[in-house]
Amino acid sequence: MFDVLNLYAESQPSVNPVISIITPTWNTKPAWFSDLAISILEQRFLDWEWCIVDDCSSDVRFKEILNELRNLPNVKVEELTFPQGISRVTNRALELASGEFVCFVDHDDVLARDALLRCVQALLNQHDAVYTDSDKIDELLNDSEPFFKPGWSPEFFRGVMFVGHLLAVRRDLALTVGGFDPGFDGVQDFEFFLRYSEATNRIAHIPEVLYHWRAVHGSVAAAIDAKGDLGKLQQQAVRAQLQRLHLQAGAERGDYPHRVKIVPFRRSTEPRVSVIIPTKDSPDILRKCLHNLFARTTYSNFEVLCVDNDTSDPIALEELRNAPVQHILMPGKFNFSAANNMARPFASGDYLVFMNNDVEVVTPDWIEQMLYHAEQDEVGAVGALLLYANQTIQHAGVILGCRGIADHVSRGAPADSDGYAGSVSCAREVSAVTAACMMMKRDLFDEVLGFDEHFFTAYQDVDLCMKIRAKGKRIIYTPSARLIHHESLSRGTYYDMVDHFLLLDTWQTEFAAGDPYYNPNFDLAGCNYELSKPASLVVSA
Amino acid sequence: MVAVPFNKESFEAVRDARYRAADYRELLAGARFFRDGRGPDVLHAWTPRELVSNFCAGLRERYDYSLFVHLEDNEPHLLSCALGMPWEHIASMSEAELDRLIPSHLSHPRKSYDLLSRACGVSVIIDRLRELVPPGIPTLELWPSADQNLFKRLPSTEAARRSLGIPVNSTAIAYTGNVHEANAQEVRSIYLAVAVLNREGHPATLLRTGRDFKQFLGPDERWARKHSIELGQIPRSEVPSILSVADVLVQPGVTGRFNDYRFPSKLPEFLSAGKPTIVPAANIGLQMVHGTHAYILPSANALAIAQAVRTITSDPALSKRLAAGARQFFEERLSWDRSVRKLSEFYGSKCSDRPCETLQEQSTVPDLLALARSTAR
Repeated sequence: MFDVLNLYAESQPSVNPVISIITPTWNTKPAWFSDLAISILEQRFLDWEWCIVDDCSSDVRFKEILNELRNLPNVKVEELTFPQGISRVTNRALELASGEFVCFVDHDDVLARDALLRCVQALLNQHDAVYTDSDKIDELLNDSEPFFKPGWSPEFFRGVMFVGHLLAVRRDLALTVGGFDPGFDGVQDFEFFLRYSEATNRIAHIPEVLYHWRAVHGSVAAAIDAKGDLGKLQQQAVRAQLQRLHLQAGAERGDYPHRVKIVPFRRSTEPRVSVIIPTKDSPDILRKCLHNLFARTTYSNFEVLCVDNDTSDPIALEELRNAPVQHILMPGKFNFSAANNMARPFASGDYLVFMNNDVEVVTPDWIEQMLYHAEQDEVGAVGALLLYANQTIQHAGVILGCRGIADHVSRGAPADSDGYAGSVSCAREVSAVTAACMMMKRDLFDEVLGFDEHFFTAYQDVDLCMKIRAKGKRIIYTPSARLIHHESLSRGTYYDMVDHFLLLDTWQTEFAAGDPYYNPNFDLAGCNYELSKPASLVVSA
Repeated sequence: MVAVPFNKESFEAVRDARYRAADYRELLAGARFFRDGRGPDVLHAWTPRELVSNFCAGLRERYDYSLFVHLEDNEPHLLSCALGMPWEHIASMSEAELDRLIPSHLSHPRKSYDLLSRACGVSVIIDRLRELVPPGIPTLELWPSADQNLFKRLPSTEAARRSLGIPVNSTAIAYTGNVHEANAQEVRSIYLAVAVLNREGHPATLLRTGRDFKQFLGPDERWARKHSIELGQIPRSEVPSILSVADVLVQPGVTGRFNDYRFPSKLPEFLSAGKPTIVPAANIGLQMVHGTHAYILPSANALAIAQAVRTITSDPALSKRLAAGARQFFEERLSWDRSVRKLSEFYGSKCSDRPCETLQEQSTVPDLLALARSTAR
């Protein structure tokens, strides 16, 4: 501690703090607290104050440290007279704080040297909240397990507590939303940010490891179930948010620890859904597609429109004529965009589903699952979990820049995998989804002028999703709608270079900015959440 | 006198040059600038990049000159792109970190600003670059031009088109220039526009001169090259004749931190040819009248270019108006004589306004974050 005090004397933090560091404490190990203190004093950004509220520690040595810190300017220390739990302690620290912004730092963790600087830069750049990437440190400050997070994804956040540390927010807004709820101690920061994010969507993500989370025995960082069943609290928190937002779904335990599955309620209304399937010959594929669609789908209010591009195979023609579908002729050279656009005037549904003819339904309630997302105002399109016949992943979302263009992430992974931090097992925001199975509102399709017919063969679905995103809507991938996609069985292996470059050219600004939902620390060549280069794991302490 | 870092021999390719060429090394070693043995009265530094900046500092130890600096790019943006780091990160780095990271062909964020602060004046190739100049430093917008003796409006003949191999029913689009890292994506937009036009039933051919210093059309270029006539490197004197057979000329590009702060060097040549010209609504495009001087696109990407070509070629009156307007703009607004006069007056008026500063004087280093925000799109 002597070293810490000397360091404080040298660092000379500002008298006008811009950001208040909030740290609840309780019987903190002195060595770890020193590590934290040093990391704060070594911050490159100087306009901070440190608000420490202690929840009745009994450790004499630690209390001595608090007494020494109490006398320092820019450090506020308060010791509660009776134990109140982490939420109340944090709220008291919020009240003590005077900075325009606050950030939450646990008593045994460590900040990277530029943590405050980066956060303040982001907050001053018209954001109301910012969170960073993090990693784990052991007792000796050895680092490991970097956690590279996506850009702000409200749907994903309901399934996965990914925001974590370091989180910095506006103090006044934090108080407005009611601070931390003691009823959720254990997941209090997650529950807090669920409410905070309902008040604003100006949330930034800094893709740098700026927070080091102490992983020692008894901590959640070390063992996910170290603090009892946080899963139940997590589900309750999500359930409460769903109710506040009037979303017709419940929250249940997911298939993996600390994952929440959103389960849509049984529907009382069934808006009409039009399933549009471009097709040509391929009788076996077409038969399987239509048979599964009608036999397995539990949703009742849907119609199927098949856009027939010069089918000549008699069995396929028989299928088209006998199946309960609208048979639309599209003679001439095949253009996927034009085929789907051609079907639009014949579609009576409020929602459109674009489907390839080499897709087979697996989960019977696939329409209900996709509709739950598609009918939300902020959602522009919904994609499904598509599998190869061998039960590995064919599609779980599209990443911009993947393999130099845009391609499916986690391709080839087992169907029931969790994915990177729940990216497969939980619904989440993505930049695009494949039109092999895509649902969207009919009115929005009209508003964005449908598929762009300049794309003849490929990438028109990515282009459509980019147009939808340009309208401020989100694209959602849901693993709860599961279908088989034999991929390109009917189209073969032709690759259209004009379509390839057309996508890159039309959306060059967006491609240059990178996919907001795929951390830039990940490799784009493999597109499987592997690191692109060794992450910076040096602990600045 | 023109001083270059190295390769002064390359100036031998410039005919009728009215200046001598020397390299930094020999001038810093004391080689004579001029016959009278005196050093320069005016030193005009072409960009504040490290290599140039260091040369200015070295020369300052020998000579007392009036410093002018020329800006022709968004230097902070170029640095950010080259380092792969947001400007906010660069601005917050220590001197030691910056000295380690900044290569000599780019601008050091603080030292370049310091150089600009010491200047008697700063010339900018496009108005937007004034945002990068320290307050209180006089500025002059200085547009380039094309050699008016060489770049004249020439008649287009069927024989000339046939001799180049342009199909009789094809819209000819010309792009005369090399492809390198900075413009590869933009030139690809032209190839892509031509490919889109062809596959959608509008015959079009790209006439292309220059060399490719970067692969930019993918591993299999046939999708693009099948619609182009590649003439390679040609003598500069033949460029006007290539431009003359084109139906449309295209300056591609989208607005943003790069294009908003530059002056595409091909544009004066294109405009001089008196052909309908497609430009983005950036840099000089903002000074032109859409439908008169040029066909101005909010974003000159491939699809927009293709649509513009369709519009222009289907409307003879528009095509004629754009052709005349391009030449008019060139004659009225792009003149080396005018630029030279303006620069000469600028030197004369500003040299006496500010005394020369020495290296020991410290200038005020700016809030680089504020500087970055001011150049944000």
